[in-house]
Amino acid sequence: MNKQNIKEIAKSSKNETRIVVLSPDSNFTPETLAKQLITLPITVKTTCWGLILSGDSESIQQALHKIRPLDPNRIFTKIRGYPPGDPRICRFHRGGGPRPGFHFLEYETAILPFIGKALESLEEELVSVPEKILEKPPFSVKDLKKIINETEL
Amino acid sequence: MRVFIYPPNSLILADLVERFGHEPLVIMSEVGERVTNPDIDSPPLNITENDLKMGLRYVAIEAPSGIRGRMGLIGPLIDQSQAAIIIENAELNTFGCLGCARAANYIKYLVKKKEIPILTVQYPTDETSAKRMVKKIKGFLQNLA
Repeated sequence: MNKQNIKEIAKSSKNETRIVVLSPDSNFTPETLAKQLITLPITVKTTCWGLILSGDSESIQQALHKIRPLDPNRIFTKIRGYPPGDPRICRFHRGGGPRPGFHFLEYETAILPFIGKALESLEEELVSVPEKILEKPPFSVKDLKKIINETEL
Repeated sequence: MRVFIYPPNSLILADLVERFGHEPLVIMSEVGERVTNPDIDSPPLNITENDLKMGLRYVAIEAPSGIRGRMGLIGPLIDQSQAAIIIENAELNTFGCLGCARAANYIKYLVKKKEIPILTVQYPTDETSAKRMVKKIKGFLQNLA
């Protein structure tokens, strides 16, 4: 098997790694989320801030559909480049210290409660705003003409 | 639509873009392609000379290799982008693994030079500013389609 074939096979399998970050104000723990994913054929690693999921992209999407509804405004995800436990960035192999990208993740995790509340407020607006708009009668052409005439004078 | 985000490794932006139905262009997918490729030419991180050559499409040869390498990864993402969301006060991003203040300035310049819809926001410091930010991002992304 030549190099080109290996590359094509690797691309067709479409493995994906994702991190799932729980907002600090969530009532869930990474372990409770991990229990929901036991039946899926993916690797799940629990961390202090959430989960690392690795597997084919379809299964990862299934996993996200399973856990997101549990706490939609307090569960955040993004793609991760390295698979879980990769020796190139794993702290155990690098002799301690935070892994690359941890400081930025820590900074954004501190903001997540604000973002969660903002998403909640958007949902509340979606329920209340359309009713208010429907209550108001449309602006009449007569009134508009009146305003135009007044400004001309 | 493909939305470029800055910082390109932002959890908040990547999540919000996906949540509102678009595809975020993130640096992690580029890194993932390189580090999980079975044909690793330049271990351990597989940044090859091709990446540096790719960087030369965006910066001059006199630019430090750090900027060239970063642009080799991030430049193609900017080329693919159909819209962009930029967080202006991401000072933290000039340090750490992405950290290069000059590359950060250059990325923002390239995005602004490209004629695509751009939304500029600030990192929230409290609940009110977070609401403002999320509302802006939602409105921007809904109007893209």
